[in-house]
Amino acid sequence: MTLEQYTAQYLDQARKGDTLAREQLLTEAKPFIQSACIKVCGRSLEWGRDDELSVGLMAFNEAIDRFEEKRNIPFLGFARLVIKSRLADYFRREARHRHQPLEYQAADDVPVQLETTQAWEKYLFEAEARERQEEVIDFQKELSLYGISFSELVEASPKHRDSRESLMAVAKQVAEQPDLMDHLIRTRRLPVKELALSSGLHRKTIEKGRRYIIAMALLLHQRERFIYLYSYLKLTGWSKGEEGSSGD
Amino acid sequence: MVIKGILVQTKGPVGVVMTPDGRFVRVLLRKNHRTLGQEVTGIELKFPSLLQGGAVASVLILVCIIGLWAKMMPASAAAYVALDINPSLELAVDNKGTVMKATGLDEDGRQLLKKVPPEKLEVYQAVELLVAGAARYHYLNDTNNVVLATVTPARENTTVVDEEKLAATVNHTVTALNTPVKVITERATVEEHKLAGQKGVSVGRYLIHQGSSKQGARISLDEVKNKGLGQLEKEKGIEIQHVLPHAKFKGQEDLKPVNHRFKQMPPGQITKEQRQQRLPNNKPLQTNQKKQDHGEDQGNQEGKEDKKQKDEDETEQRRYDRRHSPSGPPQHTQQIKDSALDKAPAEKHPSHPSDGTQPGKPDKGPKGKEKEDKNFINKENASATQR
Repeated sequence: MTLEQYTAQYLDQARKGDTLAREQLLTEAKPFIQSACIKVCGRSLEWGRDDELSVGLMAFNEAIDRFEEKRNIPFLGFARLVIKSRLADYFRREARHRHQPLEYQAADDVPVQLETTQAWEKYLFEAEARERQEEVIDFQKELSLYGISFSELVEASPKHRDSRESLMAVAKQVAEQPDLMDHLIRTRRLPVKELALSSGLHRKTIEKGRRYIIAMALLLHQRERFIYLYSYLKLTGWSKGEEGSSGD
Repeated sequence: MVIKGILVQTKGPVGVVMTPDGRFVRVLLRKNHRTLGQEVTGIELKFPSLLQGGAVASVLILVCIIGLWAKMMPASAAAYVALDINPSLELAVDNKGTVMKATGLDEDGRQLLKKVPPEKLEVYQAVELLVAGAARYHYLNDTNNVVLATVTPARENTTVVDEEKLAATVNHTVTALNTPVKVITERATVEEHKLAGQKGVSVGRYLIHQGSSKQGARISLDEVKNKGLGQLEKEKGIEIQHVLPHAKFKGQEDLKPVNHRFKQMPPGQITKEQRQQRLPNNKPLQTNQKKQDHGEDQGNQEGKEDKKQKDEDETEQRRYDRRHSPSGPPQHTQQIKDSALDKAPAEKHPSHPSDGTQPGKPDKGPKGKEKEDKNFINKENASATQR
C-alpha cells in the first residue's frame, strides 16, 4: 500500500482518537517524514541520531490533528508544510539559543500554542502557494530531462478517455515495476518492446503516447515529490487508495 | 469550453492546465488566475492537429494551384484563323474575338509573327496587321499575291469570327497596297483542322490539297506546304477559290497582279482602275497611254515587238479561255475584237499626246461618247459572264 492509501485508510480513525491507527500512520509515514526533513535540512538524516527527524515526526503528528479537508490541500502536502514550518521554528530557536543562557530557553518550548490562528492561516496560504509553484517548476525540470515540455504534453495527451486510461495503465506499470523505471531513468527511454508485450497495446500506440506515458510514470513514481500534482489526479482514484498495489 | 485544472505553464494569456482526468489542455486564462500550481479555470483553446492542419493546408494549396493553373493555362480557343500568304500562320481566338495565341506554321510564318506579334489584339485587327506586315516585309508580292484566310470554329454553329468581316478587313488592307492581292476566305471544320495539324500544314493548305485531289489536278502535300498560293495558281493553272469547298471570293480580275495582267486576264476586259479612270470623263486607259508613249519613244521597231508581245498574250488568253470553258466557243471573242478595236487607233496614232482625250479615237461628240459607253457596258457584261 502506498502512504496515500494508508492515509486514506487511517487518517480519519487517528483523528477520532484511535491510537493504533495513529501509530500505524506515523510508522508508515516515517520515510515521507525523513525525505521531507532531508529536503529542508539539505543533508542526510538518520532516525535516532538527528533531532530534525524527531521534530518532523512531531510535526506530522500535529498535522493529523490540524488537517481540515475543506482546505482542499492533500494531507501529505499539508503535513509537509507543517514539517517545514516546525523545522524552521526549530532552526530559529537553535540559532537563538546558541548564545543564550539555559533559563531563557524554556520560554520557547511552547511555540505552537503561542501562534495565533490568523498568522498560521496566512503562513499556510503563502507556503502552499509557494510549494505548489515550486512543485510545478520541479516537474517541468524533471520532464525536460526527458526532452518533454508541457506544450508537447498538450499534443501528446489522448483526447479520448479510453486511450488515456490505456496509456495511464502503461505509465502505472512503469512506475510500479522497478526494473522498468530504472530503465527509464537510466536511458531516458521507454522500454517499448517490453511494455508492448506486457500491456498488450500495439507498439505504435505506445510509441505515439511515449511522452504522455513518461510524464505520468514520473508523476506516479515520485508521488511524494509531486504531492499536489499527484493528488490532483482523480482519474483512477489512486490518490484515494482505491486501487492498485504499492510500489514502495 | 471551460476547463478546470492545475496551471502548469503560462505564456501570456494562454496557459496549460493538467485536469483531474490526466489531460493536458491549452486554455485561455483569466487575468487573476495565472499563478503556477493553482487550480484555475479557462476556456479551452482548440488548435487544429497536425493532420487537420495538413489537410486544410493541402486543400488550400490545391485551390491555389488550381487557381494559378486556370490563370496560367490559356482558355480553350473558340475559333482558329489560319492565314496563308506565303507564310502560313494560325491564330487561336477566344470567345471574345481576341487572339490568344499565334503560331507560325512555317519558317516565314514564325518570322512574320516575331516581327508583327498579334497576341491580345482583336482578330480582325490582328489579321489586318499581319497582312500589312506580310506586304511590308515582301512576303506578299507579285508572285505570292493570294491571301487565304480559313476560319475554323471550335464549336459548330458559333461565329466568333465573321468570314465576311474578315474578308472585308483583308480587302481593306490590300487595297492600300501597290500589288493587287486576291483574298479568299474559307470555312473549315474541327476535323479538318485536326487532320491538317497532323499533316503539319495549315488547314487552308490542307483543304487545297484535298480539293485538288477531288478535282483531279493533284497537288502534293509537299507542294502545298512549300509553295506560295500565288505560285501554285500559276504553276498548276488553277484558281484557289475553285479548289476550296466553301471558298468565298469576290472579284477575280481586279486582284490579278499588274505585271501579269495580260497573261491572266482575257483581252478586252478592263481592270478596276481602268474602269474608274474611264467612267467619269471617258478618258483613255492609262496602260494604253503608257504603251502609246512607249511606242512613240522607241519607234517602229519596238512597236513591232509590242505587237508581237500582244499577239502572244492573245494566244495565251485563248488557251486560258479554253481551259476554263472547254465546251462551246470562247465567250470573249467579241471582247478580243473590242479590245483590238480599242487599241488599234492607239497603234495607228502612237504620237497622239496624252492630253485627256482617248488616244487614237477622234472626238465623236456626245453621240460618239454614248456609243462608247454602250460598248463599255457590253464589255463589262461579257467580263462578268466570264467571271
